[in-house]
Amino acid sequence: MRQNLRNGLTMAFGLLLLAIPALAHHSATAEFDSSKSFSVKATITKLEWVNPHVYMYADVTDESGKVIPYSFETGPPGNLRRAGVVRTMFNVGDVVTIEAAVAKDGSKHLGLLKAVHFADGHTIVFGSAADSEGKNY
Amino acid sequence: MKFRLVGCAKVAGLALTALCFMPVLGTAQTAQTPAQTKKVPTGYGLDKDQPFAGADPNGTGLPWKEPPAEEIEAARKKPTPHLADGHPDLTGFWAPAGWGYAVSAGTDSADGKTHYTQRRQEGPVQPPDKVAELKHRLEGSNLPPYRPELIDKVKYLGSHQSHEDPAFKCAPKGFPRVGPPTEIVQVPNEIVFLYDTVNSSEQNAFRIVSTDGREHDASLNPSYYGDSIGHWEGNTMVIDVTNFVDDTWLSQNGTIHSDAMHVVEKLTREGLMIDWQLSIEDPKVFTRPWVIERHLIHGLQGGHALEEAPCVDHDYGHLVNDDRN
Repeated sequence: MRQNLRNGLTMAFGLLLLAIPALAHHSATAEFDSSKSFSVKATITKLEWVNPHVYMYADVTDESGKVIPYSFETGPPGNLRRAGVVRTMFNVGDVVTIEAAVAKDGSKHLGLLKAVHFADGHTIVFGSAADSEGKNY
Repeated sequence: MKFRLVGCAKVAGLALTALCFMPVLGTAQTAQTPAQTKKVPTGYGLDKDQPFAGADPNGTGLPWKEPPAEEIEAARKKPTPHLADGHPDLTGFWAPAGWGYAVSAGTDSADGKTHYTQRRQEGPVQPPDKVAELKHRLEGSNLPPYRPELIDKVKYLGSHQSHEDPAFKCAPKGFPRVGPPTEIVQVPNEIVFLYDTVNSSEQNAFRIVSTDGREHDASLNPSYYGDSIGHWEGNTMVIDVTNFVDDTWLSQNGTIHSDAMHVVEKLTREGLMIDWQLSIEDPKVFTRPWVIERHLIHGLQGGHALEEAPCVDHDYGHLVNDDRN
């Protein structure tokens, strides 16, 4: 399957712009830049449901066929559970489309999760609906 | 996979006011989605929408808000359960994790295909209201009463929390930073405090409060959570906590303490409410005790148990500035 790698404001599938979801540990703005997002189609390879941040690892195949391991960060397990997101919603081997904010330190294969789109059509957005206010931080 | 753009709205927040387009699939989907089949209860415990979080009315520098006064009074008027020994029963779920950090209950889109965690949006830089709140936390009217020679150090640590906070590298938060207990289990001769972890480095924290009349055990190693000895004074459980290491902070505001810290924790149950008070003494760093109080309202009944919460830091090396929470 053809993979998409897009940096910057031009998003695959015409997505964006969700502002960066706040993190509870450090401030998201200390590590990620929501003005530079990317979207990749990836295969989930590992899930780490740990404090202070859940990590999702996924392989992305670039246009030359090379497999590139990516790391994605989101909030902590306790926050996610209260928000209705648990580990069993993700499976190693799932082919998903991931939207993420880029790391400010230039790490190319690290992102802050904004949304995960699953093959069956459902989506988990790490943030608020565009038409509703987010709550707290 | 084809997406249809169905909506746009402004994302509130500072300079970033952008149009947002959320993708959803076409309408052909009929089977239950995993989002539906794996629906989990949200907002369990007391922190349904974390109504208490994000404010600091008492000027303590702690990001908590009291429950509304009318809720406290209504809870206070309920019957108070007692154990066979005649003491009030503190057992139950009481408090959001930590100091009441903000978490949100998720929500689904109308078609059920998109789940939103409802986290507050944060732009490429911290929004002004957050910056203002963080500044307020360092300037509150009831901040820890540090000796004058330590004030600059504490301010520096608070301003550079993202890089200086020991808890950010998975060290235990310790007591009292861990906040009020999420769950209390009271049995004869001891009371167990369990702490949930919403957003932190905390790892399955607990305290065992001995109530069998023993004294502090001087042979115990100094610890992050200290040695807790409790006794009843009327309807109030009074807990004396000593023997701390000096590695922890009292909050995320750079609030250091010494190994001389001594905490008196009081819990008074009235109905479905606990009046929770701390008096933190530390003659090496404070000029007087730091006294804080919070009202806890009995929460979760038969809901989700506390979950394991390991801590593994991955991103410390990627932080590029001192933006903090």
